[in-house]
Amino acid sequence: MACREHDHRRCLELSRRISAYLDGELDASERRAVEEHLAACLACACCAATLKRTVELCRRAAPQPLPEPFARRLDGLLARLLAAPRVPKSRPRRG
Amino acid sequence: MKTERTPPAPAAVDDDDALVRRILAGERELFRVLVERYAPRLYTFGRRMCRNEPDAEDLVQETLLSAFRHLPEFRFESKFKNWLFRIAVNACRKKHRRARLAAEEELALEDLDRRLADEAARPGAVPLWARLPLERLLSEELSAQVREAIGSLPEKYRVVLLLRDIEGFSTEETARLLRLTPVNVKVRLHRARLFLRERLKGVLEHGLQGA
Ligand SMILES: [Zn+2]
Repeated sequence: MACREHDHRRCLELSRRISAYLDGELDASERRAVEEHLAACLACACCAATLKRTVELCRRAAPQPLPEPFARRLDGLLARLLAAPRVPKSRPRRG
Repeated sequence: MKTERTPPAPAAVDDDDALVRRILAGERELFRVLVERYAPRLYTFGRRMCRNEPDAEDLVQETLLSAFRHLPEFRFESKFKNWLFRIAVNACRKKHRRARLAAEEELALEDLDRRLADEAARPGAVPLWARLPLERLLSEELSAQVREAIGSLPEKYRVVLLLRDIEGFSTEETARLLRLTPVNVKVRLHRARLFLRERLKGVLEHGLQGA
């Protein structure tokens, strides 16, 4: 297949930069080198595609909503906090 | 909440810095807006860092209390969100210090490299789960599996992945937040993603066979 004639050490070297590539953190010449390799190497192209998809899935993993009882407790805590005359730590001494 | 006299106009206090300035100038009630804005995100972060509900709730509570107490020390040098997450990360570390003494887990780079070398030796087509439109893949069940996979990452990798890929902090911001070098952040993030990819590959290649 596409990779038959090429050197796998180059793939390993490249694989360490795939995340930076996906994040747009490589400079122009590094990016070009990665893109040229990806166009010629099925294994690395596959690695990049699955890694990209992994990141997308992480980003879309649903957030966990606050449990209702906790939201109520937090609300109570906040009410007490805001009702306190001053932030306790910096309360000046009377006198 | 029902008897609140001056409900804050969200449009007027959209920006965190402006909100913090008003709170510090005496409109303390506006702290509620910050809580509404950040409690859910802190909780999601906490659930993934602490792996259980009560610890995640503690984390949110401690972080918000500490932020309220220390708000006068906020210097507007970083974004408020970064400052808040720094408090959360510290609270989390305090909580886990005892547990972490057991073993600082590592992700073996050799393992990941060996898998990559295997792949390079037997290249195949890009699998269906990486080709399908993302929307067709998403489901509640998959979300749960992704969360579980994230939960199985060693903590020092997990925190980097959460801050970078879920909370959207930049490499530099994450480095400052965790007191790591940017290079270190990149290395940990990459390993975390490779590790997750392995886990998800297993799940998705099975799950999609019938699709
Ligand atoms: Zn390659």
